[in-house]
Amino acid sequence: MKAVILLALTLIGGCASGRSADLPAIGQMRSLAAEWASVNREAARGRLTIAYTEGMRKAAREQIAKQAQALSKGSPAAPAAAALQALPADAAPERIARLAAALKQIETKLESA
Amino acid sequence: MNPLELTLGILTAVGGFVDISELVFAAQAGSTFGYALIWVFAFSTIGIMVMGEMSGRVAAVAKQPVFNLIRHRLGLKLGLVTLAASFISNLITCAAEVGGAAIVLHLLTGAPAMLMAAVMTAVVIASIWILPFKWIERTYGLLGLFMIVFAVALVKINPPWGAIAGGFLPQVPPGLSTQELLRFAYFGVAIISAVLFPYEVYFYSSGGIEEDWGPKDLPINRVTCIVGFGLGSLLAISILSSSAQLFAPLNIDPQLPGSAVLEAELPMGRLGLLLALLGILFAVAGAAIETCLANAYSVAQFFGWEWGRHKKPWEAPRFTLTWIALFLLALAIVLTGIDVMKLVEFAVLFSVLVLPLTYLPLLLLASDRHFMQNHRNGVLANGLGWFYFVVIVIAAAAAIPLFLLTSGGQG
Repeated sequence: MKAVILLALTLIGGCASGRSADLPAIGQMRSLAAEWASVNREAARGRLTIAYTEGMRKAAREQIAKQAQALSKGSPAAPAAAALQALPADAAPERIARLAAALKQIETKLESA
Repeated sequence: MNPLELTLGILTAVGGFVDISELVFAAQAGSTFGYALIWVFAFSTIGIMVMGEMSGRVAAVAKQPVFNLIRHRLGLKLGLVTLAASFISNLITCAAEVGGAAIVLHLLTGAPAMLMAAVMTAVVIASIWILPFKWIERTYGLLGLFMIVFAVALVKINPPWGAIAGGFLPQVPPGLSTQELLRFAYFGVAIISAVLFPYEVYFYSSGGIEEDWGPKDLPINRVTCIVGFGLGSLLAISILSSSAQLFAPLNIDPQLPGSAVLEAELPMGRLGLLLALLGILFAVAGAAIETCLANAYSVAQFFGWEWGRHKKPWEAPRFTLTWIALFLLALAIVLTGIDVMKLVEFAVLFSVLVLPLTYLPLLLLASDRHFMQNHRNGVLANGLGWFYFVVIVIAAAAAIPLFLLTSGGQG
């Protein structure tokens, strides 16, 4: 039993040290930004209700702020996170999508490191 | 056969399959791994059909709901451990459903989510108090069928049907890194857990006793399990497939419970949006009722109290107080402001640990000649039952390490 626990701890420790601890937060921020961009794109086409649009924007922005706080000091994703947080709720979907794409690039780079 | 007879299965399955956790996991599984996890849904669906049919048959023949069996077969100590673990698991799940329904109501009306959580709790408590059991299942089971909009939306986007069909074959996508493989395994375990949630069999078997099932109802039990769980699975696979088709190219791994709605809105516009929101609301509300009643059934059956919604609330006072208290407790958890997505993760994780202790006594009793006589498990039911039990034990053993290694499936 001790051996199994030791093996599990070694695996967990190995994975944490070999990969950026920021990866989960970056991945979640990238998706949240892409979700927010989709909502704004559909809202601009007049296909969403006001309640849905505002509710989703608020939730996405709150979660992005939460994930940004979880980033380590000097994280390569910090500038994109800050830029996302500076955007207004009804920002152009292209601007949000560009930042989501930037986060995706950082994520891919960290994953392959 | 009256199609309305199937509503117990529809409520159990729609509430079990497309509850808030399934919305999250199916959509994330599709956007992350394309169609490669469809087979896990199909595989788990057969498992819940087998176990659900068994629990309904035991309820009809031996007149024993699942938690009675757990106490008698596992003994008092292990029975208490199972009761405590399933109580926590069901309570967290119920809180996740109440929180999920509150978010949907917030997205529908714009009113604050916390207020909507309180309204939602009041409505479900009132409906359980007022409606007879049959009408609870009919109301929430049938209204949950709005979820069919997700299957219609999938047809409208004309996905690559060949690739979807290929997803039914057991597979692991080639070329995954070690971390991606671990994530794939995590999603597999989470889907097995979410499809085989223990509350489904607690609710389904107790529902059979509420409806006074006897051996004559065994064909209905079988059809209900196949149609109900089959329908639930179809909806979950539709959500996964639409997510693979629509969300993956946009870099979305849905993090918000409301994002799945876009799967219906993108091909169907505002009508799709509203139907999807209503479908999720009723499915999640149904799941909240299911988890809460399942918990109250378990506690009452374990301690030998009077129980059941076929009785007036004051004829089973401890049972009535228990389900009301459980709803209020779930509401209190939501009102702390805890993230619903975190609740979902914990609910799935806790449930998988309870699965072996739930299904073992059921398997033992369903094969018992003394209790089940001519209706005991045949070779096929026994073989499938034990096979799925082994799968469940492996999933339970792997759940926590995979959760830790993948940061809860996030990376």
